[in-house]
Amino acid sequence: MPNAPLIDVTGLCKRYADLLAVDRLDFQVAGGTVLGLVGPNGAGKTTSMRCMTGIIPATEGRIVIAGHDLETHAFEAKRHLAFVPDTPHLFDYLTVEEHLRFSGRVYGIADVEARMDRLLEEFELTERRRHLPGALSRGMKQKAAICMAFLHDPVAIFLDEPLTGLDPIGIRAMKDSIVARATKQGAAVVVSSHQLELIEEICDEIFVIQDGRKIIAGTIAQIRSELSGLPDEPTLEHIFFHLTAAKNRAAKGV
Amino acid sequence: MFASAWWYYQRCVLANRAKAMLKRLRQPKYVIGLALTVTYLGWIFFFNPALSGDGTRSADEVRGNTAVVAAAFYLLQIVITWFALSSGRGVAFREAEVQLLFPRPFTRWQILRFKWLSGQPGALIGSLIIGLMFHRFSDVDYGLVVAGFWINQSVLYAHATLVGLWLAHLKAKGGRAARCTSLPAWTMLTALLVCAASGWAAVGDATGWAAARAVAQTPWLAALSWPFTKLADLMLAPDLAGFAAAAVVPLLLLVVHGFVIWWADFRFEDQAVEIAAKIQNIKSEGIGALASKKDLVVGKPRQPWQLAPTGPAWHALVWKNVISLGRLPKRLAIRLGFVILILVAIFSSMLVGQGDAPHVPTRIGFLLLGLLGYVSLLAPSMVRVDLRIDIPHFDVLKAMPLRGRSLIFGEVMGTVLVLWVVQAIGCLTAAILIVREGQHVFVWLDKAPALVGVLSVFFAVDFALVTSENLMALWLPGFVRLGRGVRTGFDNIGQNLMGALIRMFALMVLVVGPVFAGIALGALVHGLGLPAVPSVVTGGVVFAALLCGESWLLMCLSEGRYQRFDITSENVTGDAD
Repeated sequence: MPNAPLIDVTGLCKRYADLLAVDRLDFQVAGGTVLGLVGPNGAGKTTSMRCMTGIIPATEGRIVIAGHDLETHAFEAKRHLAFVPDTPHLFDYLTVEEHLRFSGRVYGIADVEARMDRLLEEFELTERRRHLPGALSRGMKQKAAICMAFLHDPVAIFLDEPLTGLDPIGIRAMKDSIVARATKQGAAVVVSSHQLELIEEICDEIFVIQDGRKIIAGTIAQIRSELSGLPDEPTLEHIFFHLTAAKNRAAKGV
Repeated sequence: MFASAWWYYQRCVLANRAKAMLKRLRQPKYVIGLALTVTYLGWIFFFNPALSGDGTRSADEVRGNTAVVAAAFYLLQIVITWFALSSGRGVAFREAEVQLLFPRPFTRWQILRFKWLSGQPGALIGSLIIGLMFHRFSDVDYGLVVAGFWINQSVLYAHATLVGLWLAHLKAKGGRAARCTSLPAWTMLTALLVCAASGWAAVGDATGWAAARAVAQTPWLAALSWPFTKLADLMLAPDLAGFAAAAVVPLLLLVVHGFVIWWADFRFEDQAVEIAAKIQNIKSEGIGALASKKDLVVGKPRQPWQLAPTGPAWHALVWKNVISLGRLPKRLAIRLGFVILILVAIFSSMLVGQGDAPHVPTRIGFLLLGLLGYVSLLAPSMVRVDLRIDIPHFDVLKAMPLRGRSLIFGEVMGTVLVLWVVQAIGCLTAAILIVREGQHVFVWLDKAPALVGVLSVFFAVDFALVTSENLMALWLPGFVRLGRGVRTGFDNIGQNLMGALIRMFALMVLVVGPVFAGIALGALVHGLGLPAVPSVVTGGVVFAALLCGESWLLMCLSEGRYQRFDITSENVTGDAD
């Protein structure tokens, strides 16, 4: 059954004074799909994520989340999305479970306690539920931010470097959780990461950007077939280096 | 949903904050710190004689004087706000607020209200404390002054929010308007100065409070300060009826500001993200985070001297710290220099012209010496590019092939050298300026040895102060602000106070011996026939040598502490929560 796009980005541009950080990005993510946003440092991944989640306004372009325009119907669009930043910052004086209850109030979730217990269990935070952020490690803060993001069962999920700081068990739980949210709950997920093996493992489609522009997009199989000069059985790492090196050579005029 | 979420957040934050503070009181140092804070604030607000009237003025007169001060304070606050916001930084959000509020289903107006409401407990506590001061000073009803101050704070906050959003909007739009965001602030300052200058004629023979009131009541200045006078009236209302009448204008201002903010619906997200990252950096890196991106890119090296590839290892630490001190944010340094210049100008205008036939350069020279002495006492606790900055990376330092005393010496000497060079330039300038006072003419035969003595004393005092600050960081890290970050929060007042008291006590113990030795030797050589100036210089040099020796001895005695020091086992923050 073809799923309708839950994330629809058209002509997304973000300009800071003289710098064009994001330049005319177009893509759609259907329900049940995980899209990997890949690019070198400073490519514009985080800026794009921030625009797509309404943290900062786009300079140009249109972002539609679950049928709601983020510019004109921000309130409705934001009810359906969730964002996990690369460096999570929590309220200094709210415990883990209070963060989740706060989130529950924001989204008006009736069964917040049951959902909270389930998520804390899933991300092994049950024993830390009454800890303030000051007593949590970076990985635990990351897990708390993820629990907050998943609490209201969003249909559009944006994860910026979601595995940073997680231990192997956390990484496994995170991967399973992302895939489950897409396949079982039908959410559209955008994952930005430098961990190419993660992207290759969990993503259905790849979107490569550099200097704010799209380099290539599609499934790994499609990208493999489009590119020439790759080794046999190329991994995403081969593809990434092939694409960015070609771009760098072009930029240097070599 | 918004109100419910905010109320839940606020309730939890207040309860958890109180719990965390109570939990800290299990540690003796926080109990002592609390006792010191209560004693300190108690003295300031209840026993400080400067806050009680001298009994010669009527209640109305005192209230009138207070109203002038309060209106001037509000007026200046607004001018400073316009200047501070002219960079287009908008409203100051924290990272947690950006990450946890912005992507959620809140409107911009709701996010701004969330921020304002979250600040209200702090505003109330501030009002309760300030209220104590005004209540005692001007004998107004405590409840009314607290309520008045609280409302006024809200008006000023709303004004700052509106100004911040508007100027940030102009800046983001670009073009000519973006280049003129500081124009309103300069216009206000110019208008204020022109009005004050034109009102100066009204002073006549009046002095003190009468003069201040005369200037404030001149038509132009009265017109300019009208809204601020209304705010002051609210805070100093004599009774409930007066309060109700005085509250009309401030509440109207609050409503109008709120309406404009809601109606304009300025986009503040870009600036909020930027300022949140800056605030986060200031917390971890201190004022260095205020440097612009341009400042962080170092061009062609312009070090004062190149580091030789061989030689004593502590030279490398001195070199590192001197280079670091030279890279403090330039804009900040310029602003600091501007403030110091204004202070010097104010003091000069007050002091240099007094007395019969004053020689103005000489007076400025003496003033400069006094200022240098004052700065010398403050600077070692403010210029912190030494062990205090490096101690969070102590493992890296300990891995270096250096003895503890050499490492501390190297760390200390960078700051000491920079301070001393500044003092030397200041002293030389002062020596050139000082020519005659009354009938007495200062000749270089006297000034040269005096300069040697003064510079020796300055060096020794710098060395002793910076050493005591650094050793304090090593021995009692819990009482020292370590790293580049800033210590904030009410419960840190006690820790800072304790640290300051311990340092002061240590310094007093340290200087007693050298002072007596210096005085004794100076008196001895004077008794043996040496003229007064060389005798004083001899005493000063002996004092300096002994003080340096003591400081060095303390460094050597800290060798064992250095070897045992483990930053991870030190309860530096006291956060047991």
